[in-house]
Amino acid sequence: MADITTLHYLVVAAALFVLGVIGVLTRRNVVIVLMSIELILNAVNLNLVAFSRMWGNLHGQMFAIFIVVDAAAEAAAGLGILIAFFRNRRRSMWMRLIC
Amino acid sequence: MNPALNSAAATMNTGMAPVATPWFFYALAGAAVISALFVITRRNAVHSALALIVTLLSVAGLYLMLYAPFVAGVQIIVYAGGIMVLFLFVIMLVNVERSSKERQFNRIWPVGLAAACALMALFVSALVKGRALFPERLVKLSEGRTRRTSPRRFTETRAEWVSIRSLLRSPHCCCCGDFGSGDYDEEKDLKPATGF
Repeated sequence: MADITTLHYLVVAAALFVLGVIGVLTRRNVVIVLMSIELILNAVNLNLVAFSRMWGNLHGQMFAIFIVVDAAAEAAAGLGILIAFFRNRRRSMWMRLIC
Repeated sequence: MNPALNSAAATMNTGMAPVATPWFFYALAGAAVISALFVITRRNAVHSALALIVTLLSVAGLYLMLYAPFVAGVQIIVYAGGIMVLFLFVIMLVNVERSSKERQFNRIWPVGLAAACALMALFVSALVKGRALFPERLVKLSEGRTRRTSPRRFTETRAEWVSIRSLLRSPHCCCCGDFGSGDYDEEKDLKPATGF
């Protein structure tokens, strides 16, 4: 079997990214929308680490760790907003207010 | 020669052994993509969270295959151990039973799906057209800059140190005192040490 190259990782990351975009654009449950955003961030992380391996340095891994921290902060803030929203509206569906 | 030194020298010359076979990559990638599909299609948010945990662990395995163990550890500890617990807390706080009985997709889902398909077509086009930019094989870490230049730099440093020592042992300097035994052999001392 052929060796695994950077292109293989990029294809997997593109698939994860598109699935995350589909989740953000089509789902109504805001918790699943936040999970889809996590999928998108994971796809970007996979790209960064693959390019880091391709170039033989650690710059991509450093950016990946920054993105992990950013994802943790985003999840905490987003879920806190969701709890406040649910306390007022008593529902976790957000798109009902929009369309 | 010591067998342990033999194996260490063999590792230095041939590079790191591959983490796993290509089949392992395909298994992890398939698990990641299929569980990501489950994340966005399940009606129950708890099921989506469990599928997302599988995705995160599979991506951590891919990081290990890319020789990034620290990022893999951060992925498992922060994502699977921290963020997912936060998600499960919030799912339990909001009314998950009522949410699972309502309509799951919004009214404009065909537009969103079309936009995502257009994005996928863009990615495929970019990857096909830019395929020649990527190397056929991933570079081995032992062929990187540090391992390649370190023996040379060590030899240069050693040569500088030897010249300083020979300067100190010169007759001009011996007037001030005895700095050595005088049995200095430049050919022998400039030879690289064993293992380099």
